[in-house]
Amino acid sequence: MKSLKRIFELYDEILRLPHKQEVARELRDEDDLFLLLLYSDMLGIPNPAFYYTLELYPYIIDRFHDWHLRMGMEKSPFEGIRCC
Amino acid sequence: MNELLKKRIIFVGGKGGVGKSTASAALALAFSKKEEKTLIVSTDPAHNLGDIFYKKIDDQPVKIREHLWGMEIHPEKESKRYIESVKDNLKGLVKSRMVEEVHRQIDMASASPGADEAALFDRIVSIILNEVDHFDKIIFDTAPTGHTIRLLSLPELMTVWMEGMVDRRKKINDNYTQLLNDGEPVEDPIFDVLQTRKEKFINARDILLDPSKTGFTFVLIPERLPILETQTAVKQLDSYHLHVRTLIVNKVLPEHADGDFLRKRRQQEETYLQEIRKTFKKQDLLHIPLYEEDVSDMDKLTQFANQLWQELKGEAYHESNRS
Repeated sequence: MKSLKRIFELYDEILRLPHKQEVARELRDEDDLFLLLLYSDMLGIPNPAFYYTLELYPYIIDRFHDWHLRMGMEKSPFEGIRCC
Repeated sequence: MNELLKKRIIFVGGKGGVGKSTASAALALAFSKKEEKTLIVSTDPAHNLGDIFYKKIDDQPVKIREHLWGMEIHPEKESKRYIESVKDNLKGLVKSRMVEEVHRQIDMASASPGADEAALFDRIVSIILNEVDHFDKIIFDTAPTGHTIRLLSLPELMTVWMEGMVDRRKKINDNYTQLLNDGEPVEDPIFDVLQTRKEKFINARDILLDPSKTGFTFVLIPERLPILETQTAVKQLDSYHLHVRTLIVNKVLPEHADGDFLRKRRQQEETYLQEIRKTFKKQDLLHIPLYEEDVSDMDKLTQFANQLWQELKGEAYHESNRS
């Protein structure tokens, strides 16, 4: 009985694994979009609250670094954010 | 009796050169003479509060006379203050070798258009929130019309934007919690910062939109351009739910002004005064005469203040009442 339960758990785990990656990727895309909306000003899209987004800068900068590496850019593409 | 008498916070606006600062100063003086503890705040980058009261005035309340305090706020100084606080927050969050580069970038970003304005707005909000308990009246002498409208409409615009961002962030966090974190809520400083900022805007909006606390008035003179500009301003503020109920009509030629030249001017002025009455039916009009000499010292300002007070009380007698 116990081994049967174990088999079910394992089966569940096996099913979830590929999706987990997919979900993580989806959420990361959402995160990227958020980044874009926040710093749209640097791309030339006016953002009424640009001044207030500066206070998010400390929290964003690390994520931003991950983002441009992931996008295949070795250096930050923006003048406004220089993380490396 | 005029509605402004009941307000705790009064914004005075108007086209450049119509006597905004003098009218604000007179209003503040009038309140202080009635022993209302009054703070007058100049937000016009071209400050002249200090010149009016012959006193050096800085960005903290300075006592001018009995029951009257004044301050002048400087947008560049305010935006610098904000930038410094952002830099402070960076400490410990960013790797030390990046700090200098990041500072340089922040300085550049702070030079973006709108930065000074946003800083000015922040300061106005904190003055309102912090000083409203210490003073009976706070009077803001604002910059010329366009500037003021933009400034007062900021919370409306910003709240919408911030709300959008906060909602989006919340959705991401919720999804993350449910799908990847087994229901454990995630800690997100970005969400917290956005949320705090949003609440600040909502607070500001609540105060500005509260007609029992806050009043708006424009100063104009009986001439074509100021009338047109005031008309547009009143309409624009209306669309942000900020209602101007009182106008100060300054520099009206007094009846005893004589001579052919002035008679002619008065004729033309009468047309404009009529137009003002016709255009601003919903507004209470306070008339201030043109004085023989400009309002350059305390005696003349007191005269101005007394006249304004009578008008506010509705006790004054003038030509427009006669018809």
